[in-house]
Amino acid sequence: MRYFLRRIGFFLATLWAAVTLNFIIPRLQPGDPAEIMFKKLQGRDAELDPAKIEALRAMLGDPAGKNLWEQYWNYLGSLSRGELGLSYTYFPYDVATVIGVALPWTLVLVGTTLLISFVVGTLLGAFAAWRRNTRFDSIVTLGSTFIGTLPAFWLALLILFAFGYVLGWFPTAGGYDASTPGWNAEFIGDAIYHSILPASVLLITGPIGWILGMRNTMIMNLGEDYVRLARAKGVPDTQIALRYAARNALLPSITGLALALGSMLGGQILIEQVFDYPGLGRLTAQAIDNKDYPLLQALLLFTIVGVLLANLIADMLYGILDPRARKAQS
Amino acid sequence: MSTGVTQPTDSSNLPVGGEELAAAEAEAVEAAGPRWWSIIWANRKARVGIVILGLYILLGVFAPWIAPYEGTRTDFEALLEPSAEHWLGTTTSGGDIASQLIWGTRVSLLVGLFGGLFATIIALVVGMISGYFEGTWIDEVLSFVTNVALVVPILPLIITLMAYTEDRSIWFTIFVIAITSWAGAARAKRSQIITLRNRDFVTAAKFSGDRSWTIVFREIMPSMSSLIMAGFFGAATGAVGAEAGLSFLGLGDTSSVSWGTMLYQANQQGALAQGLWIWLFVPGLALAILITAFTFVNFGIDLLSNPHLREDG
Amino acid sequence: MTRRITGFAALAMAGALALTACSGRIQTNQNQPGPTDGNTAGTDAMIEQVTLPAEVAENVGGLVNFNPFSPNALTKTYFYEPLMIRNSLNCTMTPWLATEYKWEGPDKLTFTVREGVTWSDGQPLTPDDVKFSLDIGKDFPALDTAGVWNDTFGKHATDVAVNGNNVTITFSGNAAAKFDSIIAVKVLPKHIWEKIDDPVKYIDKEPVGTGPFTLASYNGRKLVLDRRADYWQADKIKVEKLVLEGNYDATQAALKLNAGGLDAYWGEIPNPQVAFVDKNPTLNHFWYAPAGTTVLTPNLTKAPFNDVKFREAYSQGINKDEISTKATYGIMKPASQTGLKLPYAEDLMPDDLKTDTVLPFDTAKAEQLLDAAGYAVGADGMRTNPDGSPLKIKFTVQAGWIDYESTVEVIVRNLKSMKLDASTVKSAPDNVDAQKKSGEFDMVLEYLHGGCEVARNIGSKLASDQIPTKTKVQSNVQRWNDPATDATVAALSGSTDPGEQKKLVGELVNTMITQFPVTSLIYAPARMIYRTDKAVGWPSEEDPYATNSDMLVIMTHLRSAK
Repeated sequence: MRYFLRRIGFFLATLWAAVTLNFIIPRLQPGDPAEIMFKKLQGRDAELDPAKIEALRAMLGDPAGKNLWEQYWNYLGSLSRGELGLSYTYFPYDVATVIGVALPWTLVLVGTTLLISFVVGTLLGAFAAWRRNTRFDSIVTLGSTFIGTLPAFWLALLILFAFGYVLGWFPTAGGYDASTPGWNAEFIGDAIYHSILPASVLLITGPIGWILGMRNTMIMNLGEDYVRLARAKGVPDTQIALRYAARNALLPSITGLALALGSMLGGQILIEQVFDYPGLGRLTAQAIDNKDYPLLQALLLFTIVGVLLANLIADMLYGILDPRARKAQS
Repeated sequence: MSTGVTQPTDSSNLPVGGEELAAAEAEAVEAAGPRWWSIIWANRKARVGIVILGLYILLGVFAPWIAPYEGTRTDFEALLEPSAEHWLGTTTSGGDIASQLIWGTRVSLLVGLFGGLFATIIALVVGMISGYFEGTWIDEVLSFVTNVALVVPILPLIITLMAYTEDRSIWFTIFVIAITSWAGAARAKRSQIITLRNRDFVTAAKFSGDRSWTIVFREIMPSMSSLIMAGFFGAATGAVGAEAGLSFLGLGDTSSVSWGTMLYQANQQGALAQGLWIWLFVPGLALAILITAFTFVNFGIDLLSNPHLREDG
Repeated sequence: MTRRITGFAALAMAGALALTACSGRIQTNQNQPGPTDGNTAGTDAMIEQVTLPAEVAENVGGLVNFNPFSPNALTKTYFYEPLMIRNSLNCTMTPWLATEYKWEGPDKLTFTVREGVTWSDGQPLTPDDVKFSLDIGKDFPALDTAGVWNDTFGKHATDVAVNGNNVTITFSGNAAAKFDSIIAVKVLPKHIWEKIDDPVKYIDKEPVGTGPFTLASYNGRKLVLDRRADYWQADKIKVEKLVLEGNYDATQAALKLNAGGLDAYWGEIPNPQVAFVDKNPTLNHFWYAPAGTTVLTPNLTKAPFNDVKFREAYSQGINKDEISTKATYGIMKPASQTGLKLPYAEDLMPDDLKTDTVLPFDTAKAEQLLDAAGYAVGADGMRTNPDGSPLKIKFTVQAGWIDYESTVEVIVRNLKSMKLDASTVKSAPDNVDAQKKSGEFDMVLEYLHGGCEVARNIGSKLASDQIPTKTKVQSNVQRWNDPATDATVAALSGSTDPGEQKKLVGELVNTMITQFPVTSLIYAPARMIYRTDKAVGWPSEEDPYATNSDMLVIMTHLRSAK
């Protein structure tokens, strides 16, 4: 029990620290949101019109106006009430609405590819470990090592160039085109069509980590005494692979999956940028670019809470699945 | 993984399982002994990695002699086709692509070497102290800091730090990458040292009255050298990739030529629409090959710490 | 990320020429395309559809808002219309919802509201609507985009009164310089907006405007607008369906244009000649009008930049032609040191200055001037200050602004060949802004706006009250502080007499070409990249009737290509 209480205590303390950092980080950045918004609206080379900048300042509120402590308490206060404020970029929409629009895109694209990557990667990794030093193993290991070294955004650019620009098979930007968002076949088809290129990048690079991780853990488990014992006792090979080695090797992978699912909420900034995909990653990049403090704070908070919760769940899961961990920590 | 810039693939981002794995690795340490070079060299992948890395280092060190021009020169005619004067043609602003590529080697190697080094040092100091004093308040504080560093979204942090500097030099990029990427490794080091701490040689040192610091850095650290090396190469790989990603977002040091800034400029200048694919393709390839080399070398180093892997060809 | 210039931007360009008409009627631009190339040889048929890039730079689908004050309004151009529109190149006025205006002294401005205009819900436009649209900024400072009710560029208003068809604004003092902002105020339907409690936070989903189009559909990406048959100048609108879609980067925009998925684009496309025009020279065109000037801006509060001889010297040694080639593929031409955009602003040039005012590139002369001014070459081969102390120049440039970086590369190379120890510092753009505010820089690049009202562009650049403060970026970044100039700017912004205006502009121009407070490099573009397979009549070098900031005017010029 102490193990679980400690985990929860840690969760709360980290949450507070992260929330505070989350408040400080955007405010460390130089730049006035009103001036930045003005430049964005007018273009880089434009007459500096004080009247328009003043109007924007009045609209967005002047964050430099109040002292930092006051702002911090206001921030904690509204956070506890679940108020996240109005986005500057999408004024006067509130940030929850804005995030709500971008969230499904990331959830579907990153979530689906993550789960597929996990299943494919784990299976390939386990099989490679089982058939170690065969041709299959070297192809999988070498191949994934090489692909894993390709910078994902570069791969994205090449794929976009080849299939979007040169061949013209797939759209080069956006999440959908002419259809109207909703539960209709036309839109879903459209969205899938647009997600193929970004998804392919995530599917090429995604399984690598799982393959190598699973393979290494499995090889180690295959060398353990209990596997040797089972072999000596004449347990069939397949059973050893599945029931003994793979099952134990899966443990770190499953907690890894929980963590990856948590950090998924941050979106894929670089990939979404390359494909102009309307998810949380691109939204984060926009918020940073526009000094959209309310939106950026909410997005970061979202990511942090996701990661923390995933951590907590992973730890709990581990505590339940592997009694050794519980003992070691208490 | 949330940022897409740094993708730690080492076991350190697995919460507890990683620790177990690391502990097993730590067990294997002493087996390495003085045969380390021959063990690494005997591995084909590691050999390839070492050779490629060597070539890159030569290219970087002798860039002034190998490259036809200074990498920062932009006074050529713009958009020249590849020719004897310009092996890979010129950019839209009149830079020689081949020269930029060769000079860019320097930046990537520098970032890899020092970014990896600094991140490893921070991780070592934090992880080892925290692990050695496991259960005390020192450990609590350091573990807490490490965990906060693990959950803070890295990219916005990096962008903020970048935005705060007056001069975006390559050293600043290195500094930023190092201080944002140490946490995972520190956590792994902590669990490794916890397993080593109760080993006989440490107990012996304790009884002979050595001070804690001496024990940590004189007795325990050397026995982890292959793990540290592996950590270093992992961090270096991450740093090289992070520099490219940052530069691609336009956050790098644009006054020195790196592969990331080449990609950024190519993308910004619409290289694809103008059909200048060499400009976009070559820097990424150079980057991929370098990272492959790092990874291959790390294969060899893994063999030192994990004898189970050693039979691999 | 600085790829677009949005609509309501440059509507606010006022000028000396506007004031020429202060006491009388204005000459009206009859909206007739001039005789030019194939771009204007259209027919009277209707154009089925024209596709333009989205006006909003950001869109997460589904967040609909047409509130023209919102930073993220899906269009600010085609529903709510202004009182008048001024061509920022030749400064002619086009009456829009107001048919004429009249200054009764510099503190009283009257507009005559056009009759026969209807809102898209069928209600007629009334002078009360105009009064309401001007008054709204009084209650809500966040909506006062023209600065009607505060003291920016002239005195604040005290009253707006309706008299028959006329709306009269009374100011507490001289407000002549506000004119261009005021004519750009969007006119709102009072009968709808008066019922809104908080227009600042109002999400306008069903816009009712006077504009040429009405909302047909929006699916989160693609905004479709239909032509209004009862638009007040419906005879001039040939476009049946206007589609605003997509935020493209350079590569995507070039592709869309080439494929016909876009009819016009005004963001940056590097090397448009190769990336676009060469692929179909008969249909594909571009025209980059000068919007203003990119200027080298020294920090006049620091030595040696406070020495006019030093500024004059380096100004001679900068290769503007190479900057033009490296930064803009040779499209934007080297700029006149006067700060005026030539040839469009030729009329404002002092008569005795009809010579070429683009400074020639002459390193030898620059070195001569530096020698003469006492900046001798030291032992290390670099020049020192006259007192022998080392002279170093740090040129700060916005990292990632590729054209600026290319420009600075050339300048720093030029400075080095004058044996000046110059180096480049690349900083985050926000950080460069911070340096402009704090004054901690040696040299930066700046934009000098080339609008019609010289008092608000060259004037702002040189007026001491426009020196940036710790909290505000303003135009006078180089910190030119001269009481005589201040007096000239003040006189110019309140002047109503064309002869006097020209004399005052002449004084500012004289400061530019003899004092070198900033050094003009090349003109900055207002881009228009377009294809003529569906619509013709786009603005061009031959017929510069509008720039990309006046899409509403352009809509009235487009004719079918078939």
